[in-house]
Amino acid sequence: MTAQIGEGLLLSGKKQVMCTEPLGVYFSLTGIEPGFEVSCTALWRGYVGCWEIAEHRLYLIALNGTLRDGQTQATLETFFPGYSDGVFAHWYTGQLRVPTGKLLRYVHGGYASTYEADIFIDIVKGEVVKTSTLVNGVAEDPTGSDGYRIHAMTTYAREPRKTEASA
Amino acid sequence: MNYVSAYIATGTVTLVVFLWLNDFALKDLFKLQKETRWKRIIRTVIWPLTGCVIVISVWPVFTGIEVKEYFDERRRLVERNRVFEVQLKDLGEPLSVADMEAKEVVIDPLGAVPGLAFGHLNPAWTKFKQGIAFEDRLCPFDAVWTSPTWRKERRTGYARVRGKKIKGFFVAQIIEIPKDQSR
Repeated sequence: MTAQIGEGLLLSGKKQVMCTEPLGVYFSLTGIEPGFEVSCTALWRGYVGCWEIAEHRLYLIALNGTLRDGQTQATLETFFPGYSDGVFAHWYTGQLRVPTGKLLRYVHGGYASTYEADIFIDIVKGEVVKTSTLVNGVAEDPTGSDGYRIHAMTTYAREPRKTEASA
Repeated sequence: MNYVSAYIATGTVTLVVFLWLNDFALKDLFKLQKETRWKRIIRTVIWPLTGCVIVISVWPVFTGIEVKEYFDERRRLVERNRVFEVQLKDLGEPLSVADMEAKEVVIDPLGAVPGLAFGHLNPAWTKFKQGIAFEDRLCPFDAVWTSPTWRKERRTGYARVRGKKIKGFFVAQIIEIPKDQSR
């Protein structure tokens, strides 16, 4: 599997990339098949969520993705009507992983690449219970860019929509 | 002599069945683009004859292989289609719906969740609740499950129990168990 685009996370006011997908658990629990369009191999889930840790709680504050009709843009309102300002992720218990620093070892699959450090945020029913940092090493190239990123992907062309004139 | 004939006959039948089950694919292994006469003789005469003699001679081994493969394939199919089920051993003491819903109300100071039982999962809970009959008991469950992709999870929620049968369940939490903890 290609390395995947991560979720966004606002942590202490700073934008990070998170290698965990809490919204996937929500879809599993509710049995919702969200029906996102997969536009490239680096985004099999079809959406990118943006999260924030505020008052020691995890909130989903934005959602971007196109549904399978190729036109409808999904937002928070699509799956959480009335909560377009933010959704408390009470359904999630697990560990968020936020890679930081420079790349140490790239793996072209999932979230397997290793960075200089990982911030781990333990969440129980949406509430932060513990934060820890694991240092993995120091990059040989000090000029490399910081933070998680993907290096390659294949995009899928969208089929042209048939119009009455072309039918 | 009769035993030898029976053995050879059984071996011949086994050979036919073996070739049929494997769709006569063996011959494709030896199709060569540029064949010398000697290679053609090996492919068309010697190999098939040798194969036939082997199967007829040791047909119990081939029969055992086919039977094992049949049961292995059935087991793989069951494994691939395995779904989560709550077992009786996973159940706790029954609760009333009212007590359970009072316990599961989600509160958020920023108002980013409905103040209902199970918060954003309330629609799924409401759908499950509609199936609860008068004679059912509602029991909490706590189960460890390994998915077909070998991901180990702890799943908690509530099950609808009638007598000694679990008639349905609502999963409220899925927690991945890291690999180093699952040993």
